[in-house]
Amino acid sequence: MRKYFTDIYLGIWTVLLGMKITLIHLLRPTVTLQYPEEKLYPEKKKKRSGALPILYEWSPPEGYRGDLLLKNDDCIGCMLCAQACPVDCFDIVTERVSPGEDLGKTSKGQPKKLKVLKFDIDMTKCMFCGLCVEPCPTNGLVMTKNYEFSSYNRRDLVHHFARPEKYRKKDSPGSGGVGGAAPTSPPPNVGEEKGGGGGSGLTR
Amino acid sequence: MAIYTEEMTVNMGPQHPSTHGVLNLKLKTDGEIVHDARPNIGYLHRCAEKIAENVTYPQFIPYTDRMDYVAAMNQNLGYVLGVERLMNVEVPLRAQYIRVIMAELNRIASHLLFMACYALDSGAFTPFLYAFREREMILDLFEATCGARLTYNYIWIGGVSRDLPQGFVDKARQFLDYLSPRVKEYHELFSYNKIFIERTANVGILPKETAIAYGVTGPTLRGSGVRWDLRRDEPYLIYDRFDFDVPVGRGEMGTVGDCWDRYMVRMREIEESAKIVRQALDQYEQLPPGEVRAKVPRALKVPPGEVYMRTEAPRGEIGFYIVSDGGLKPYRVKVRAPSFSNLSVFHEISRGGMIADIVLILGSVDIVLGDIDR
Amino acid sequence: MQELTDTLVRFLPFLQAIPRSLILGTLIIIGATVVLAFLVVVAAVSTYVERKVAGQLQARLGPMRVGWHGLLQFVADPIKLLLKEDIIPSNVDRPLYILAPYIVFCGSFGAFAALPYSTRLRISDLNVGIFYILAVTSLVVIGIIMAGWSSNNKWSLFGAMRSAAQIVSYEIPVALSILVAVAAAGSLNLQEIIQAQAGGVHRWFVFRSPFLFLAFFLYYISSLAEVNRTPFDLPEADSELVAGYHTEYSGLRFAWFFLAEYVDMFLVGAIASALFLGGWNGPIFSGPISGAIMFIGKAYLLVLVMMWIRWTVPRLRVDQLMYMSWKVLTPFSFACVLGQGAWMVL
Repeated sequence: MRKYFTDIYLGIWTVLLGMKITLIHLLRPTVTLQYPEEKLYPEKKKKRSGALPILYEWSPPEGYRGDLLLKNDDCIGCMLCAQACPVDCFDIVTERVSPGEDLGKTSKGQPKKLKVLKFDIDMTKCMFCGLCVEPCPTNGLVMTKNYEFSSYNRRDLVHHFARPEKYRKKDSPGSGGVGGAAPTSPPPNVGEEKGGGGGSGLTR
Repeated sequence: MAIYTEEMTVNMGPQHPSTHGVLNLKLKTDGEIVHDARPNIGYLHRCAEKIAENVTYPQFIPYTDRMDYVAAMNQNLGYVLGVERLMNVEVPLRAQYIRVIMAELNRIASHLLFMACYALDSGAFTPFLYAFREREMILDLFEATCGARLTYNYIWIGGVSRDLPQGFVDKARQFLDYLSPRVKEYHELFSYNKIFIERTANVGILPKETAIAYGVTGPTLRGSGVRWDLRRDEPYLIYDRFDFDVPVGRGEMGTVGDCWDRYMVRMREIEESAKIVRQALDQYEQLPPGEVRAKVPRALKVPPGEVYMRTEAPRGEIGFYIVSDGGLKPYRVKVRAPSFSNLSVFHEISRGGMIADIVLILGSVDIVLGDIDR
Repeated sequence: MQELTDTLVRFLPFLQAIPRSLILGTLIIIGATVVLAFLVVVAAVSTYVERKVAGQLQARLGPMRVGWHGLLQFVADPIKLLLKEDIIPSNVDRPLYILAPYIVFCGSFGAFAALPYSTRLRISDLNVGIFYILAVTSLVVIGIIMAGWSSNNKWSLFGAMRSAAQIVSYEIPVALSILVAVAAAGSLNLQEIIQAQAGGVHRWFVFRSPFLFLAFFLYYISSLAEVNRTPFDLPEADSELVAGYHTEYSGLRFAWFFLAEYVDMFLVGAIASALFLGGWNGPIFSGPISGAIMFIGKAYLLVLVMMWIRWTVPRLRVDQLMYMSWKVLTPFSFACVLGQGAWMVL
């Protein structure tokens, strides 16, 4: 009998306690952000509203694993990133330089010995693990803070980082005499590789 | 004249708001009373163990993240500890402290998610959002450290991948100070609510012997009164340097081993993990600066052998059985998932309950389908 | 309605040519349409208010996009429901399936005919007002069972069975707590009950006797169960049965169920404020128009408390629901009736 009444009393009392807590929350400011007007972005620095102590400034923190970016000048074509990737989302095609060609150095001073003809990263396969960034000897491959790169078709999600045209400009046309009028015929398409470099290696 | 009744077989199908993931439960019910409940799994199988035979040791770490996606740090830890034991690598002390801090913070996050989903299953919608607000702060801490919020790939073979950022220790302490009054709020709002107690006390009672017989581990086992915790009984990492209790179910509101006990064990574990993190942060600050990763070759070759390494994940004992043949890729990785064994006891404890109880019992066993199906 | 007809005929003499019954009929239809429009607006606004209140209680904002701070959300939602495809699954019991939402809505809507909004503003002055309301709201059970059975879905059937048991069991404490107020006023006529509470806040029934005070809370809690709100929302438990008895409904048919729930909530608030909180004898105003505003305001305040409870408290299980009805609420309401009788005699 006593248990009957204590149960009823406890039932009412605990419900009222719970209601008190939700009422307190009614009066506190909200903690959600109205994306896309308020979001974490490096440029906007705004105080976050709400009862939370502010953890970090209004931006994705340093070292955030977002979109991948290859700094072309820094890639030496070693393919360590492609080997490290668990899901094989890299498609890299390199070519040895012919003797006499000079590709220059990376921003840190390492000499470049391979021409990078194709460097595709398929972001639809990427799992953002960051294993590719760690072995890069020149820190050419980085993960940016960009996380908003959705697109309407799959093709746009494949990054094409290589710039094969810059190798054509570097190749001095007419060094072997084959190819005709040197200054007025920059070859418009890729197949003209043979004209400049002589017997350079394979182009896959 | 006897009334003819029939047993109804109902599918609590793969898509259901409160089976935690894609789980199919075949229920045989007589009205509201359930006579049998058989789980039907496999909807989330992604062949992780087969993939392990085709990727190298460091490349498998992101896959371990994705098994129990709620507590990814602990999965990383288990696998990496296994590989390190095979390789006999000496991990720097600084990295060990960081690993402990990360694992315990992830335990807090996982238990907060458990509480949120349990409240949602029982009908109270508000604790879900409060718990996610707290979890958000932990994920912010993780994001600052390793750059990702759910699949970390942070604990690497030989140590951790990066050092803790500047100001992490202060922010972590700030978070812990913020957390303790919130946990008290949850107890007021939800844990000691009479309606919740009525629904979970004396429901889904798991006796001690049954739990041990089925191989149940983790808070599900501790809720039945068995004081077994791998962090204390087979210490790995540096857990022997910390002072913490192991909460067990005491049958405060009903019988020992009911849903309320399992729920309360997890809530108390949040406080214990907070204790561990505080001690670890204090001890970490005293350390001299140093490396966070031992020197391991990039093309990692593990000497041939086999090892079974078990650690205490938030859901129970996670075991990695790694067989190596001396090459770059493992020969076999078998994962002993805690949720798999915990779910096997489900049909025992749900017999005789009502359909409303099934949902709560399943919630109290705290499964994650990524763990079960791998 | 009769006196309205008389007044109209007096002022517009050309109407004398038309038979009285026709005028009466037209006025009734217009009145019903007005009330329907009012209720639909109240229910739609309630959906918006519920989402906003839920958001604030959960430390988040509610709807914010449609209109300023989401104010037009209650317009967008019905438009969406109206524009949806009318899907009738092939194996349902067609007559029952189609009829069920209307019965549920009529059960809730019909009760508003007997409510007085102020001294002059009422639809009909029934002598057995409150009794009629109790009877009409019982129609909802039939509609729910029809919906659950005809859906040809085991989960819907579960929800319907639970709901039928629940509503029928909780009718008893509801009726008994209403009986306490009726005993205090001495009449089943709602207008007279409200008039018995005239003359200031201290004359409200809630404050007049401890049994009436208790009866108010008993009525409120039992009617939470009648309306299928948490903690008694087992028939529509989102986490257990997907959506209970209205799983198979979509579009406009679902809109009827949805509106019926909010209209029912408002009805409960209105009856509670009429019987116990003084009706249109507001704290300050009691005039013909301001009294109506007071009445609606009080009813809506009770609706807000219902929302507050919903977002705080977990759900009860079926047998605990039944336990609560038969072993807790019914004995207490019996005790209130007896106590009130004794109080009035002594």
